[in-house]
Amino acid sequence: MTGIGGRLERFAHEYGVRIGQITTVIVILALWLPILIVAFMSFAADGVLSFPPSGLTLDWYFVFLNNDSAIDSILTTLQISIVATPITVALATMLSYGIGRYDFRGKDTLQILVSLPLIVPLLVVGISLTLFFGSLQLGGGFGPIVVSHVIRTLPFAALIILPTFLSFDQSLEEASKDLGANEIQTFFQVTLPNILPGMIAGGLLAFTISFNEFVYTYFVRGTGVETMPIYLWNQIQYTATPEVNVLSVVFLLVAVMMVLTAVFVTNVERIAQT
Amino acid sequence: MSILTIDDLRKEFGSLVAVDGANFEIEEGEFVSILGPSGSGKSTILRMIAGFENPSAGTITLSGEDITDQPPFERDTNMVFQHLALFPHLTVGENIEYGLKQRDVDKAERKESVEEMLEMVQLGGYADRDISELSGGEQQRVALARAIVNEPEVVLFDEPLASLDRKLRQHMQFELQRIQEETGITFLYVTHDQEIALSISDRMVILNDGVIEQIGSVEELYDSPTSEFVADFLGDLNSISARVSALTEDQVTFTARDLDFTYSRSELQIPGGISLQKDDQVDLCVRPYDTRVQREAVDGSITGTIQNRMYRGNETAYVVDTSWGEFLVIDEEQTTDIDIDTTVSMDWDGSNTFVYAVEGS
Repeated sequence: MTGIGGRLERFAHEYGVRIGQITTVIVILALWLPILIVAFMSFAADGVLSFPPSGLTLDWYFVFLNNDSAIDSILTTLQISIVATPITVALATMLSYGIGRYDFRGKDTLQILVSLPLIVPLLVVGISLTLFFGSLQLGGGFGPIVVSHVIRTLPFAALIILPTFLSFDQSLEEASKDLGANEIQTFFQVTLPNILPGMIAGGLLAFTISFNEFVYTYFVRGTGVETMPIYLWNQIQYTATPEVNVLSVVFLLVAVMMVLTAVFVTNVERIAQT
Repeated sequence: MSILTIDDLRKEFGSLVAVDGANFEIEEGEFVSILGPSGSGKSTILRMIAGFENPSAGTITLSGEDITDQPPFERDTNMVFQHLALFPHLTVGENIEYGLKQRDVDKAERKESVEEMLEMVQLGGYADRDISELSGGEQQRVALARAIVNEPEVVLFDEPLASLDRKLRQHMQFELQRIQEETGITFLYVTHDQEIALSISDRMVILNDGVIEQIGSVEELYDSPTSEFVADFLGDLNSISARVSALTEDQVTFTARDLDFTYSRSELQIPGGISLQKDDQVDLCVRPYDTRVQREAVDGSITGTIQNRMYRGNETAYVVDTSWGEFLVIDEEQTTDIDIDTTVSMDWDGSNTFVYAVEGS
């Protein structure tokens, strides 16, 4: 009883909480420190990236605001994400509707096939997309990038939207009709309020991933289109000024905002369902 | 005039006949149960009345109007669903006023009705709560309030009490009866639980395999079931198959294997007034409460050994293993206490014996 097991147990009992706390701090630091340093370095006064900086300045933010190609790259990225996201949400919703509402052969397989692309290496799909658009003689550009973004974001959106449909109790719609609401009123008063949080959360996640998308875009973009991650990559390769950090901060803010909104919306949905 | 009339109602799902020609009428203000085992088609009948299923044939008439082809939202019926189906995105008050809102009742009046309903189901002050904050019993009350606030012609219940524990279920049964009396609204309650049906309804419709076996008041059904199925379903039944071996002016003798049972004709319960002929094959049935058990084997009676004994407070139940099968005996007197494995014999009075003709004989 007082062997190694017993001593281990006593040790865990005495220091377990402390060890857990320390581990948490280390993990959080590892996750956020690089990001904080990048954010901090966006205020560096030096022309090249060196730590610690000799002074702090907002200059690089003004450089960024006057840099048309940087702003353009953000606008291009937004355009692509704004087109790709609704397509993804629409497709994921229809898919989830089918899987959630109907029983058919291969339903389980279909569910797995929808989310399985998440584990396929990005480079592999990137290469196959290049081959695909190449063989269609479409070349690169806006259209192929949007298609690639839809392919990239669909599994994520489906992962969020599908549970909404699986947990939706169809007798709610019957109850609504029983109480005098017709099909259309039922859709807007009962169905939509119950699935909308899932759709919004799925859409925000899709938007964030599309906004960050690099690999597929790099393969299918051709020469004309430069999204923000591509612009950033090109900048880092040639001139690493603190302006790159400014771009990263802008990038970060958009992503964090999206994810926080997504988390908030999904929580609201969970509260509504319990 | 009856408020709800079901005429030759039939429902097929592919090759499966779920409801096979159902006919019954419900009077205004009645509390009627449709009772049957699972798969007997009782929920299907309810869903056809509500408008969620289209009948394959037959008509449904509500207050003189043929509603067979009306969509659910046009029918003046409201349902309390099996899993309640309360709207999770709405508060208690919003759930209850949902039906009124669809009918464009103005806001002040809606609020007043909601308050009134909440009082009736003893949830005063709950209007702004979320559905998720309520206990199971409270949710039942909200579902009930949501249905009766619209003052429909008939409220339909799809076994909503089945999920409650015994004590709460009994309490809700009393509540249902009270509210039905207060509002005077007609209730149609579907269940597989004969205890609930017996205790809450005025009349029962017994359904077996899509066919109505018997309709009548609770007492009628329990005291004179017209079929062995009904008798067995409303309280267990001990049954032996026998042959009519001798008939006289006032006595009948049944022979089952090597045993003879002789009863006076007038005391026997022969539902449906079938006239017995010599050599008819019949089932002799007795309720466990009417079966007596005694310690020693008596010649000319059914003997067996006590296999199991269940003490239930005010009664003791014995399971007797015989060469005829298992018999259930319920002893309310509790004057004798018989141990397991004791050899016993059983008997009963002719006045408690139901005689059912065996089909195909």
